[in-house]
Amino acid sequence: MNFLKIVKYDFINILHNPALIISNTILPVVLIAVLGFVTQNNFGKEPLSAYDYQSVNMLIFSVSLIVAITTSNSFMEEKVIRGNMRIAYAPVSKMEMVLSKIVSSYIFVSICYGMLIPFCQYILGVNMGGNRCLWFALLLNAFSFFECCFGAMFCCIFRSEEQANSIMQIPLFIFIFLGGVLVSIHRLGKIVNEISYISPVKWIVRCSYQIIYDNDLHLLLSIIISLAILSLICLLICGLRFKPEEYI
Amino acid sequence: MPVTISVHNLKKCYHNVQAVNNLSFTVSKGEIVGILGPNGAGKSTTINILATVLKPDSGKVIIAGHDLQKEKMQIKRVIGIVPQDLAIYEEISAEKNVRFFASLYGVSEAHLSAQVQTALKSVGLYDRRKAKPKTFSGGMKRRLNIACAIAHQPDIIIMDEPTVGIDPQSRNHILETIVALQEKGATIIYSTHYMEEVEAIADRVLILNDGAVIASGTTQELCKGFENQITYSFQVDTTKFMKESILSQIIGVKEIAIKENTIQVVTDSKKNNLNEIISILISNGCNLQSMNSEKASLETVFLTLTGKKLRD
Amino acid sequence: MRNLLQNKFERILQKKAILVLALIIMPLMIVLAIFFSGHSSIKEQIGYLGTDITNLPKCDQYTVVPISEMPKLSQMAEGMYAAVVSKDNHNKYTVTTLKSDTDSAAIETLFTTGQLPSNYKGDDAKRKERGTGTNILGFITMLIIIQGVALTTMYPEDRNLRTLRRIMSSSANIYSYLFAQIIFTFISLYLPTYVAIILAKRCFGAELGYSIDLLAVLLLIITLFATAFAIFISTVLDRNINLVTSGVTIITCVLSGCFLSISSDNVILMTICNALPQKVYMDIVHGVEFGGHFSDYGGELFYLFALSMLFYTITISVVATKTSKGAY
Repeated sequence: MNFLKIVKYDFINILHNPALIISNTILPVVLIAVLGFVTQNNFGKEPLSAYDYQSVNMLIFSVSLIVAITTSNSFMEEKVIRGNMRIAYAPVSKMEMVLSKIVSSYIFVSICYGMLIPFCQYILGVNMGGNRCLWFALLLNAFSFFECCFGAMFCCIFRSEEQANSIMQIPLFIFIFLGGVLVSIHRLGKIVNEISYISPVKWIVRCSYQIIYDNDLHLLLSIIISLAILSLICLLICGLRFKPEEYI
Repeated sequence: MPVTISVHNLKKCYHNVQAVNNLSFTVSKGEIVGILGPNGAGKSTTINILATVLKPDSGKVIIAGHDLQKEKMQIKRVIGIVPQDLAIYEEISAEKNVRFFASLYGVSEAHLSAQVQTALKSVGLYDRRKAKPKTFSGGMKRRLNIACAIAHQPDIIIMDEPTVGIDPQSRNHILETIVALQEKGATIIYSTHYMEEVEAIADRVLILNDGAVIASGTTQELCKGFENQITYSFQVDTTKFMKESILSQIIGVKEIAIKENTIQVVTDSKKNNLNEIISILISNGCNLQSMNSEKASLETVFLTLTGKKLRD
Repeated sequence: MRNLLQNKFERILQKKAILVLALIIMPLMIVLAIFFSGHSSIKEQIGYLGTDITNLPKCDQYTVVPISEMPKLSQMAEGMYAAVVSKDNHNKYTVTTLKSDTDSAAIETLFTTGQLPSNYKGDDAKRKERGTGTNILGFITMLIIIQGVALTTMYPEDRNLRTLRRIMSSSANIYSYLFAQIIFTFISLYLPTYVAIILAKRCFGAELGYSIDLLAVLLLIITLFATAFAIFISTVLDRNINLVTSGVTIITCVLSGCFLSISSDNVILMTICNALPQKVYMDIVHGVEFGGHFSDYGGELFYLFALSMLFYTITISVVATKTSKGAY
């Protein structure tokens, strides 16, 4: 019961942060528009346009980069950290404290991307697989949960939002680069291509393309299970590293 | 009065520094106990252990009948903590802050609104309940910090320097609030550096040094050994010709401090040696300009027991 | 002033995350960017779906490989094949590609005539035409702007810790403080970047597109601008400075053609793009790489200088207003 109350207030705190709202709603749309515009001369209209292609890529890019930052901000941003750590005095376990930040930011980004995907499909008219966009939404949702756990883990390891965000961006950019969201990895040779399989983003991109363009769901379940396992590992590290007394 | 907090042989070591060393004390139900101690004496460590957020290395702590090692959650439910930092959310209203923290202690929805209202009224913030703390003054934030700790109406309230950096009006209000809470039956542990606050509200005082209690009792009891001690402060035009060794020969003189234009003499008041001190000062070239005397206070006791050496 | 600067350097030594970013990650990313720009990536592949796989056309822009079945659309989206070509019973070639109609027609010509149209330029050729140096500096521009704000972190920190108030009440006023911060950000931004570029050139023999001296000047221009932007954004925003900067920088850098050249018929959009400082900088960078002289870009240089000055002016006026209101 306490857990839900904390989640609720964490959620309210996120809503009081305009930068987080804009980053998870307007920014992905602007990125799609900008990248679509910039690359439109490189694409034909059929079977998919620059906007179709970039909308999938930029949504994955936004989840990869911004969701983890959303969690770290809701956890340890300067304006909320003291209040958050006061919860340690209440009858609440430390894992509830960590989980509440993950769940609240997860709910927040689920709502944002849950609206963005249909918005892109049905309002902007880009190809997100038609009715199959629900499967794409499910995949991004599982990925968002992993990103939330990833962001929380960095907070627990580095004990400050500033440090967590700075350091976290390194693996995230590596994942994004290897994921082929910004540049096509196939062009960089066999070795880089082989290395790219370690990036979760690569698998998300592949699965998304298969869902949207081939109506092929065979990777979906195994990727969701893998993301769940990775999320659990992050949570385990949170449990081992998070010590509320260090913040009091 | 039944004992509500019992601490026995508590130990806590940080990076080879013994922060709390065999600390033992008890607090009776309904009592206000002031904890005094220089920096690094172990006050905050003790408070964090009592608040269950810090694990002791050894020792036994019983709070409201619950063993700290085994029944952490039960203890948390009966305690309210006012941390030294302003642990509040700046972006949500004062009322929502209080409501949130109170709700974590299992206050039912039916009682929550009334208890939040009571807490806000008791710290004088009810009229500003809808405002966000980021618009508050330092004193208002401190009062809100207290409201967040008392709204669930805990039996035991632990306050860690709750009046740091605020104006006399807010401080006075906070002290009145604490006394009112005691009248309603709360047991309060109050840690501070301000002696006058402890003198004003505490039933009993614990003086901590190097992680252990070095003195405890009521203010009167603590001052008892010092009741015959008096401190004379003389303002003089120059102390150039005055030496400590001359004054120390006077019977009853315990301590002498000579500064540029001030000479401070701590002496046994029963020895009636004021005339002798003054005549020696004059005969040694000190032109007396003014003088005052001060009987032993809690601060005198504190400084005598813990020493005047600066602490880290 | 000297004390303020010394204080900045002493404090940054305690900020390990920023140090690692400034001294290791940033230079590493720059070296990698240079390495990959110089490193010839493998040619784009065209899959040929047919039985007669002898005498497949060859060209310098694509590699044609025989395939036995039509790749899935997802594989094409991943970039495995730039196009798939099949031949029907009437010896007519059908090109399936995500690329533009121009590319599609050129690939069809490759198969029908055995060579690409003489005026055709694929993505690689276009990138090469843009210039290696322009591609490298485009990427570095984005990194420098983001990193500039990260290196200015002690300024908002001083506001939050109220140490700025203490500094303001001393003989060192807010303007000397800001000036110290500007010098600090500039030095910490310029030196590691320049050293990283020199190392990349020395270690990998990478082709930079410019002489070392020319590169030093080009880097100086963007670093001066990035410093002004960092001070400005750190002044006007109270929280989420890094997050906002990353978002704004990525978008404006893409729109400025830092990664790919952009062109559109949309006049309004192109006017906005042309007004972006990064776009103006990219024009200088591109021009200089292809033999232009700085004097040819007096207008562009003045624009960047004026914009930097505008950032400083706004910074000073915001600081003055906030100071008068007692916000610091």
